Amino acid sequence: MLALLSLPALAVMAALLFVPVAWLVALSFIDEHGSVTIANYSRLLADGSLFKSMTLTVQLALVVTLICAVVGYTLAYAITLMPRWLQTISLALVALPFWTSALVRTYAWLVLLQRKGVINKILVGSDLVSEPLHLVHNLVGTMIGMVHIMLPFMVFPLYAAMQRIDADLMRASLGLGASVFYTFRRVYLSQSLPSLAAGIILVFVLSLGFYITPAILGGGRVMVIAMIIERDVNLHLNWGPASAIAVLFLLSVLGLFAIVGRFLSVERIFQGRA
Amino acid sequence: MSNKSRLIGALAAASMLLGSAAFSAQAQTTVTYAGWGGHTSESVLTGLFADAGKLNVSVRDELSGGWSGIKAHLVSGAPGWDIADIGFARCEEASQAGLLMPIDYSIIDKSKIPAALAQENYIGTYTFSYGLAYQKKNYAEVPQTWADFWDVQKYPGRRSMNAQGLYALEAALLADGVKPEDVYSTLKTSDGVDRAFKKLEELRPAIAVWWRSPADVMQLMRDGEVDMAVFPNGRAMTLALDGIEVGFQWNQAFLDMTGWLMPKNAPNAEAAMKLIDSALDPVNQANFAVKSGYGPANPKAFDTGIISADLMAWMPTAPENLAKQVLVDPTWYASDAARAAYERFSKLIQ
Repeated sequence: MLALLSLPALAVMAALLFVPVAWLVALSFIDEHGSVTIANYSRLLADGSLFKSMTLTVQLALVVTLICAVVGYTLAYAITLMPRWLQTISLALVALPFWTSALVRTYAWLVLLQRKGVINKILVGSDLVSEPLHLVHNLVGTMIGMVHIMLPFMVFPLYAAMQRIDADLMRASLGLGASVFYTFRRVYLSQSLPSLAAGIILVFVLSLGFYITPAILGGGRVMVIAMIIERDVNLHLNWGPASAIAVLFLLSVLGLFAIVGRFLSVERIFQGRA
Repeated sequence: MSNKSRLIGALAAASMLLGSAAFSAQAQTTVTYAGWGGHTSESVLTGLFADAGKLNVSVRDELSGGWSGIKAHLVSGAPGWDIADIGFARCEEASQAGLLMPIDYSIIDKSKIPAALAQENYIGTYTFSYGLAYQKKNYAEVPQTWADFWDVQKYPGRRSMNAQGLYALEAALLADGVKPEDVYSTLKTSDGVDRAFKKLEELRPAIAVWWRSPADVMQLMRDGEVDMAVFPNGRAMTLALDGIEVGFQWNQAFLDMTGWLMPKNAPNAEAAMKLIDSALDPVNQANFAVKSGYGPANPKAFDTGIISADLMAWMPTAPENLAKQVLVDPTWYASDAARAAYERFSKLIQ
C-alpha cells in the first residue's frame, strides 16, 4: 500500500529529474549531425581548459564553504547569546539579503568594490592604502560576492541547532572540571556538528553551480564550469559538447559525495540528526 | 433630411469604409521581420521600413533570439520569417552552410550601397564600429593607435577587452605593426594567428576586465573602472551625450556591419526584397541613423540634411570616419580557423 502511495512522487521524480538527466547524458554522445560519437568527451579530455576550470570551481567552492563555515558558525553562536529582541533583528538582517535577488546583490558588490567604489574611497581617503585595491573583477571579488549569498544557508540551520542546545549541559561540564575548550568541543560542537555538516554540504554544492556572481565579479577571467558550459553552447551552438561537460561534472560531484558518504551519512546530515 | 435617413446614410458610409479597409488589408502582403527587439527593432520599423505602407506591405515584427535563435530557425526549416537581422560574420556563416535565399539584385538596387555590403546571399543594412575609447582626464596626449593601447609605459592604466576576443586579434596585429589592409590576410595564416596571440600575451597583465557585453564595458568606462577599452561607437556617443569625459578613437577602429538575410523558405520573398530596397533609400537610412545611432549603409543618407553635423561625427560611415577605419572581414569570423582561434583565446584569459 505504501509503495503504491509513493507512485505519484516517483512519477514526478522520473519526469522532472531522471528523464532530463538521461536526456542530457544521451545528448552528450551525439554530434552536430545527429550520429553517435564520443568526440565530445575526447575533445574535453584533450583540452586542458576543462580540467583547469573544474579545479578552479572546486577550489572556489571549498574556500567559500570554509569562510561561510567559520563566519556562519561564529555569527550563529553570537546570535544565540543575544537578548530575544536583538536575535529577531539579527536574524532579519541575515534573511533580508536572502530575499533580494542574487543579481541585484552581485551588482551592489560591484558598486562597493570597484576602483572608485565606496570601499576603495574609504581606504584611500584614510591613507590606509596609497593605490586603490583590486577588489573586484578577479577571484577576490567573486569570493566576497559568493560568501555573501551563501552565508544564510549556513547561519539558519546552525542557529536552529544551537537554539536547541541545553546551556545546562555546558554548565554541568564546566562544573565537573572540564576546560572551556574541552566543553566546547565535546558538548557544544558535537551537538551542532550535524547542522554544520549540513550547512557545509549545502553551501559547497550550491557554490559549484554559481554562474552570475563569477560572471559579473570575476572580470571574465574566473571561468567556472557553468561559464564553460555557456561558452560551449554559444561557441558551438550545439548541445553535445556542453552536455558532455555537465555529465563529467555531475559524475565528479557524485564521486565526491561517494567519498564524503564514507565518513558521513548524507541522509542523516539532511535530517539534522547526529 | 430626417434623422432616420441621416442615420441610414451614416451607416452606409461606415460600411463602405469598413469594406474598403477590409479590401486593402486583403491585398496587403505581410512580411515578417525577425530583429533584436527593443529600441533597435523600433528604429528599423519606423525608420528603415517607413515606406512599407507605400509598397502595400505590412511588417510583422518578431524577436530573432540573436544568432542561436536564427540558426535554430534556419536549421529546423521553421516557416514564417522573411528577413532576419544579424552581424555580417553570422550571415556569412549561414550563407556558407547553404541556408539562405540569394538576394535578388534585379529588385534591390545595388548601387545604393558600397560593394562590400552587397553580398550574394545577404546584404548590409547598417553599420557599427569598435574602437579605442579612453578616459580623457587621464591622458594629456590622446592615444591614436592600437600600438598606443599596447604601450603601458606611455599610457599607463587599466585596460578592458571583449571576453570572446572580438576584434582583439586584429588589434594585436595592428599593434604589432601589421598594415591595416593586411590584417585579415595575416590572420588567415596560422603564423598570423600565433603572432596575434604572442602580442596579446604581452598586454594580458594590463587587462583589468574582460567585458562580456556592450552594457558592461559602457559601465566600466562610466564608473572609471578602466582607463582604456575596446569600445562600441554607439555607447561612446551615449556617454558623450551624458557628459562623461570619454574619448573615442576612429583611427584603426573596426567597422562592422549588420546584415539582413532571408531564409530559403521565406514565404513572401518578393515583397521582402522590395521592402529591403526601400530600406536602403537615403531618407529611410538617415531617419534610422538618427533614431538608432547606427551608421547608415547608404552614404547618400548624409546628403539628406536629416543627420546633423554633431551626429555625423559619431557615424561610422561618415566619410571622415570611414577613411580611418579597418573594414571587418566576415569570412574570417565565419571560418573554422577563427573558431579554433577564439577557443584558444578563451583559454588565454582563463
